[in-house]
Amino acid sequence: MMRIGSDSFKSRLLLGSALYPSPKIMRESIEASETEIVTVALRRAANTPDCSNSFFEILRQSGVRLLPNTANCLSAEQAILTARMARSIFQTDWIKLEVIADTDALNPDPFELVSAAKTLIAEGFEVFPYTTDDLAVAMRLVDAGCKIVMPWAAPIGSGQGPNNLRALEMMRNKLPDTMLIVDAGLGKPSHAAQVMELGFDGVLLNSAVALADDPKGMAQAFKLAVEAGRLGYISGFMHQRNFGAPSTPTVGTPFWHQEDALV
Amino acid sequence: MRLEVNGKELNAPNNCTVADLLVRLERDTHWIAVAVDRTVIPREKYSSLVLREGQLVEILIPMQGG
Repeated sequence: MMRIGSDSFKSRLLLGSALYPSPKIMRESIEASETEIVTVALRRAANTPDCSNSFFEILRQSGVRLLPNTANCLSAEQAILTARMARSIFQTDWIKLEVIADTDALNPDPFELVSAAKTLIAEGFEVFPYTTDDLAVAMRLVDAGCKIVMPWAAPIGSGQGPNNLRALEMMRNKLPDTMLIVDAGLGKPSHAAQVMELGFDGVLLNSAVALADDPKGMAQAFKLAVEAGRLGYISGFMHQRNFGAPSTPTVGTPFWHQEDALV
Repeated sequence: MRLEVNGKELNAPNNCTVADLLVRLERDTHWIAVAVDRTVIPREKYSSLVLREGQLVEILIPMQGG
């Protein structure tokens, strides 16, 4: 079980709600992933009468916990206001805090991120900060009061998989009491398994599922990969060796093998 | 009076409240958030908060996101 605040979750996979070919495929993908937490965003309403918002109706009916984000914010000020508006709409203190430094690279701005996190935590938010794999920034976020830190594996939407496993591993080792969720940059189920095997508490992804040829199938694949990686991690890995070691017992080896060895 | 609503100029009657504006825009008050001059307005104040000339109003709704 994954505990966030006073809530427990069976699934360690968090899923985004964007980029699916249709709301129906989004719903099927959410169901196949068995995720319990789905991210959402905010946009300006058109100055015209209400139109149907079928994606949101589906999310509400699915019973998943919503995690609003502050996507596209370029400053702490923008992110703080967006978070406050998200709380007003969704009636949740959860916020996936994104403050980006560059609209092309979409890399997090660590200075604005830490600043926004401090303010939002003081206002009672449960902050899920999207950050790089830099340990110093993660430590400053923890100092600011974040119980959760979400380092990227690679830039958002790139599907590259973990670009720096060593940095992620170091973060895991240095912050054993912080909930660490890898967010962004995963492309294949094996990428999710890799970071779960490092002891990460969960993964958050969107594009890898939504842009797959079969999003529903990929959602299930990621579910299995996250579960496999987690189970592998808690089961304890064998120690690596520099040379081969026989797995078949050598006791009672037939005599002709011994003759070969003498040649 | 003139307001700026979601980045666009909009004419509204004097003494227009946030609730009046939402009615004028035919927008349901569920699943929206409103900020006036960058301050989030609690739902229970929609009917009492009177808007003033030139104020910036942001009305946000849910959207797909990652």
